[in-house]
Amino acid sequence: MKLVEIEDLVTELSDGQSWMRAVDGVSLAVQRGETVCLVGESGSGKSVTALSLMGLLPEARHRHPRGRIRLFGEEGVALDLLGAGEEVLAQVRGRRIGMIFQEPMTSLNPVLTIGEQLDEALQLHHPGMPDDERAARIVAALEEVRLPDPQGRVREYPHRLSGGQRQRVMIAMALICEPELLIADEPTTALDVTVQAGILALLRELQQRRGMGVLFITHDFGVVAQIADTVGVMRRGVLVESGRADDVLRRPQHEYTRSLIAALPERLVRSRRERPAGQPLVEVRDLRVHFPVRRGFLRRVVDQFRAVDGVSLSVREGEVLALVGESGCGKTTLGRALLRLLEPTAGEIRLEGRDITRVPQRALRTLRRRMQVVFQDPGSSLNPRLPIATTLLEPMRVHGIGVDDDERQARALALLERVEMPADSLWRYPHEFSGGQRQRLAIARALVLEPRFLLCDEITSALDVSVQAGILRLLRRLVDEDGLGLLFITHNMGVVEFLADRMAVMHDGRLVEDGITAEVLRAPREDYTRRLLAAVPRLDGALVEG
Amino acid sequence: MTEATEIDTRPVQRSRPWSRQVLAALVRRTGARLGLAWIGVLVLVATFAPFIANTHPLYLVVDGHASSPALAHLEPVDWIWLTGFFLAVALACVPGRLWLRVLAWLCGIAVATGLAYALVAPPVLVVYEQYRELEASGAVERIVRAPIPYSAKDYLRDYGDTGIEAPLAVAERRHWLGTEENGADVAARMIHAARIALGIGFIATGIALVIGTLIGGLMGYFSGVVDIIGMRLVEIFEAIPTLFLLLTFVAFFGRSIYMMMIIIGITSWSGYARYVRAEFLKLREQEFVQAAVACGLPLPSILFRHMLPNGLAPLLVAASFGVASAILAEATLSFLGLGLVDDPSWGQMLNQAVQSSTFNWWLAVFPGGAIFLTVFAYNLIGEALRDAVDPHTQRTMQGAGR
Repeated sequence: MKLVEIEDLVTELSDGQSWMRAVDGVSLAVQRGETVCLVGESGSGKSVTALSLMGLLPEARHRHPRGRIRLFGEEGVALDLLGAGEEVLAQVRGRRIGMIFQEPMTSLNPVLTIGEQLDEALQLHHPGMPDDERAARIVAALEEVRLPDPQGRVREYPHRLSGGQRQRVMIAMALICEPELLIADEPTTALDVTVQAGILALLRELQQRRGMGVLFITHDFGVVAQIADTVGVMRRGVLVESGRADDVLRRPQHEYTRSLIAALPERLVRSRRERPAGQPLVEVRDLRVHFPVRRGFLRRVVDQFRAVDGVSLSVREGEVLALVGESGCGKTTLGRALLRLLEPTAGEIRLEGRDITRVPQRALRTLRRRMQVVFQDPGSSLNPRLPIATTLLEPMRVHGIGVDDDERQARALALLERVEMPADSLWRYPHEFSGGQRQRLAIARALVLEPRFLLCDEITSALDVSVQAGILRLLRRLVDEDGLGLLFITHNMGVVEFLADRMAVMHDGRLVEDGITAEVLRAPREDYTRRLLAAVPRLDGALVEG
Repeated sequence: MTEATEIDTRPVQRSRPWSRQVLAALVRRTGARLGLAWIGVLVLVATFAPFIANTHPLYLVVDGHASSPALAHLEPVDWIWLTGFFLAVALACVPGRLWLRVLAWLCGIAVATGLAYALVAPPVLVVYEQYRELEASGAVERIVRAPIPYSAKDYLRDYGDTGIEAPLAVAERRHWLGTEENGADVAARMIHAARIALGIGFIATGIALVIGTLIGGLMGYFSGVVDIIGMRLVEIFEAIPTLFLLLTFVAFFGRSIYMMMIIIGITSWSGYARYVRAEFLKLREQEFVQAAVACGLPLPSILFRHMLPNGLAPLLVAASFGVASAILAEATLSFLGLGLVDDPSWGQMLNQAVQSSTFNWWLAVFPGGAIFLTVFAYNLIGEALRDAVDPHTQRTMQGAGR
């Protein structure tokens, strides 16, 4: 039975001067008891489609030249949503259509308790319900999403909950009025894989129990494979392919869908590589980074937070070591301490056999040439006020690479070519580049000093799969050609599979397991690694092909 | 975030730096245009004050002997203003880095100041009446006067005890804006007072900016003990009442416009320090700053090249409001009768409006209007600047599309 039908929807957004077509003739339907996944890269219009459905686009900044969205009731009565008045939409939102957003950290109001926020929706849509019934229903809703201790949580504020727990509260809030349709806009993107697995299982179970329709928006094909009955693939506002999930994922018809699936890191073609047998470039022995926990009026140190707690690892020349772990496990802290951007509490760091753990910052400056870093966020990895030329030339000037600026510029140009960027990038500013291009430029900045060791901290996690594939290939080539040592911090197992020679798994500041990538993925020795790998959503069941 | 892989074949084209973009965004706004136009008029008036309002004729021929008394009576300050103005115009046409040109301008001003006080020696005894007497005696063959033929300190003694007069009250002498209690032309005094208004705003704010940026930057970058000491210093300076300190200094050391600028400057830096500190604390964790550290760049480069330009935006906005408040502080002091004795200032004229037994509206309306317009202009610029540097307003203008 049809629940929602979108017919030939066109949504245009305005920037104040011109209109940009965000959704271009999308038609799709959600049946009762069915999960429809909209997949696409950023900017493909999948979120705008959902927001059009809810009537949540900014007033006067959007218009619908064409299209119709109808919500069907139990008796087959259709309600036209597109162009419906605010009062009609207010009755529909929350009551008949629930919505979950991506960012669990900001989608709950921090100054209201969880109970109050759930109560608000109930009061609005069921004004006649007595207080004790509402209270009972709130506890029942929290119980349904399996929040531990729902009685006590009712009076808690959102900051007391973890990201996964908040997303559970968001789901409870979206479901408390028992909507017929649930729209989930990338609800698990900001969460760790193990948490994501729990949330996906919960959504699946709730949907089956209630017979809801779910419109699930994601960019992750692994998630699609886990949850979808029907899939729609979007690109630049157009629905290029739709059909049953099995069909679309196993036998994609449209070229774009094929290219997207082929760009998944676990599907990328790996070249056969020799076991790197070079000298150890960077060695870490029993590294500890502790942060003091201060409390009270005199800010006494009451405890130590052990971000990195006794980690030993080494990276050889021409080798990629992937450091894997969930958020908060200390992998980024380890990376920063390794580069001496953070002072380690104890342990030893050796760079090319030389102990650099206690070298003073001034003397370290010359050593910094040998080890470079690329960071996660493409938005802030380059100085927005400087043209790329200055960003690239200044480090060379400081370290005395090149005789004059002409020679340095020639080097910078050669490097831009290596990272596959046009030469006129030199005279542009970071904001003129896309996220993937900025990460390429950040790699160029790191390579400008001809380092032997490169640290990459989640550098592709903010990028679309097709862009990520390009960057991963580039990195592998750089390592193979120059014999760099690369420590790649990530949480994406597909990336590990493609890129890494060896991998190390980190949990709660400790190294749980390390070894050859294929061996660890195929036969993990530790429980934690097994749980982590089991939670990774995959297109196909097998972890390692062949 | 789709990656464009096609390579541009166009000739290498440089993009506009951030400062240009902000300037363009600023000039697009009507408020900023009005504000900048008024400040521009003030700068012109202040620079060319001796040629706009002067008792000394611009050009005079007596007994076949041609001279320019106005030029001969130019004081060192006049020369400094003129060189500063023309240097700024010249440097604006020269290509180069903005901060280098600003530095060149400041050096030029310093040199001009030294030269002006060493070389320029106008006649010590100034007799304003002589030209009017000469003219009356018929000895003048040719005379070109300034549009307002009265100097700021020309009290018109030759007309007897003139005193306060409403605008256009006396037919024989035309005072467009009337005269003040000593008989000097209000328009002429207001024109010369524009210098004090501009000077005190810029210099006091400049001093505050330099101190605030340095202390705030150090606090933000090093944090820890430096931060704790710095913040206590900020709190101490915030506890000092500027007006009271000014009154004390005036009482002990006499009246000096430069002292006023310095005192206003060194008591108002705390706000800027807080801004810079907050920005630096935020920026220090940014990845491009971390990357700069990881590249082994020296500290001055990290602080002034990678952090300061990114934290400048709120500072600029605060500074334009700071200029307005410095002008108001000077006006307040002058109104209270603690400003300069003989030199004209808008606040001092306001004071005269209520000093005599009658209320002299022209002494209230014109200088009051000038103060209002100037403060309003700086506030308009500050407001527009805030919009221009704010990425959020920029983004909503570009539209959000996911």
